[in-house]
Amino acid sequence: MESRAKNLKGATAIVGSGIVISRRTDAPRRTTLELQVEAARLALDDAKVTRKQVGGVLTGRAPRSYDVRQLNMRVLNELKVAPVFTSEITAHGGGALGTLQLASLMVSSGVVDYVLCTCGNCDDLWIDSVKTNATSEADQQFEAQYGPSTPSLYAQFARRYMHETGATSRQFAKAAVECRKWAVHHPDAIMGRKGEITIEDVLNSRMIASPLHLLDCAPWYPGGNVTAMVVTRREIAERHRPDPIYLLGYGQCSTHEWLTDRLGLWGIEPAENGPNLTRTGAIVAARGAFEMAGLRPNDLDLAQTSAPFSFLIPMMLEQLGFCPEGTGGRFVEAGGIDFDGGFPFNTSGGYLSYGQNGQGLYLLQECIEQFRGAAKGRQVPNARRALVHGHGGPLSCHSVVIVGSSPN
Amino acid sequence: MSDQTAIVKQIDWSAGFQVVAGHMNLGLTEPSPETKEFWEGVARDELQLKRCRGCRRYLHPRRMACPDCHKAGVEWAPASGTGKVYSFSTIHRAPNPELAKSVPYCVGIVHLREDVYLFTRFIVAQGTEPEIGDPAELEFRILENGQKLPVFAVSNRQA
Repeated sequence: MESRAKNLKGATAIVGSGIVISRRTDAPRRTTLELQVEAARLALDDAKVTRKQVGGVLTGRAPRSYDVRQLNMRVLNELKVAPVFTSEITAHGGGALGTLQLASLMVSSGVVDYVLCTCGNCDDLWIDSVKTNATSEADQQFEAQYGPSTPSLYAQFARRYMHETGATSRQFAKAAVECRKWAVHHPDAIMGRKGEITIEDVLNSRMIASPLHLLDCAPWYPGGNVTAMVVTRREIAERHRPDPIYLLGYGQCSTHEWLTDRLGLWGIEPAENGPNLTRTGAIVAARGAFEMAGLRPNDLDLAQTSAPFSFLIPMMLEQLGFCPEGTGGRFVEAGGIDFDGGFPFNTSGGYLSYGQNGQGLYLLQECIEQFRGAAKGRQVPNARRALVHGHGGPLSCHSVVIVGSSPN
Repeated sequence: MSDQTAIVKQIDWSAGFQVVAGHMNLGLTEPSPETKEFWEGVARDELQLKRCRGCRRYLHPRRMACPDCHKAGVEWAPASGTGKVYSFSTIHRAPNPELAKSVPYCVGIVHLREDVYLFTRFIVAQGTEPEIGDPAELEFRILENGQKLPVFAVSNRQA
């Protein structure tokens, strides 16, 4: 299928970015809104864009630690900007990358010149995500009463994936081991300081929700991580800085709200051939992104995926196109994403070892650091093109963005 | 059938819950009049599904319309109560203290004979796990939150 969005390849770019990380233990403990505003200011300063120039403001969803409606209004209210187009993009964890996609469409249409995108996940600054998350991931009427934990909801996908492809717990463990190797070299990765782990460490860690062991599960990031970016058209971007980050392709797909409802979807991709738990919206989102960019997976230098559980690494490697469907487990086992010599995947340590932060913009920030040669100890040589995948809900909403250091 | 027939706590989903934090009323959550009959059926030890009046396809009890024949309308239809294990997970780390007393317990998805999938609790022999494809039979049990719910007993090959 020919993509009608091909003319948008490289037409827009990220011209500034800002990231603020705060730990729960910082004194005084900072508020979510404060972090959002600081990240936004850093991004605008980095882009050399004044508040007068901001034409659009898009935020991801409000974090649960600051559970307000219309977060975009709170942010623009603090920044004292007056955008002509604003919205909160709420597709769970997929919304953060969704802000960039809508921003790109907005500036390429000429409606506005600069769009500020911001998203933060600060849940664990003020609440205990482990204790509270299960209630928000499950259908309160038809799932929650049965006592599912969040890992047990994702485990339903894992079990089907193993059943249908023959993937093994050992292959999942291997994915966790490689993530940890990257994290050791990232100063903000919370598991990095604990050092490397082995496949046996993962398999011998206690069972949380079968088939997921403790080390198959991502820890919540113990604080807040807010990322903001400014998007504009290519010709404007090149006047602001010599090294904008070009948006080459993007796609999204959202399929359900609750796990069980995913099995009520049929007759439409990714359930064209019937209800399933093993073909997610990531397939559709990645396909759209690659078609728009006119690129193939082997044209990329690195990729980041939102994988809160280890099995999602092989599963997403397949669905994002890095190996054929059904072969993700074997691909990982054969060294496909090895820190030493494999395809650079989750170079910040991923959710598993960096810490889970349910928003995709900080994964993109890692790509920007790689492009600029600022990823000390984990630098991918000549990194020029990258894919970022964000997802939210129990594999409900998927966003994929392909970025490059040049527009083609 | 389980001998636990008393309903300790019947949640009235058709009315929804008022969410209150301190002195603030935060509004209504999950009002669901369209599923009232489902819970009335559970009270009588009956499992009901939605069914499309047009294509006659069975649907999840939550559905308000058939995705393919919106105008035809949906009606309640009894389920056979038999199905197969579609997926499952045995929980060793419970999400809250109320459930911690029950670990390990198995939650999962049953694929009913009517081609509808339901989230459920699988009742298995102690120390065993089901397998995908194992036959599963409807029972009603009062679970940890005090609510009577449809659950599925697995005729476990390992047991």
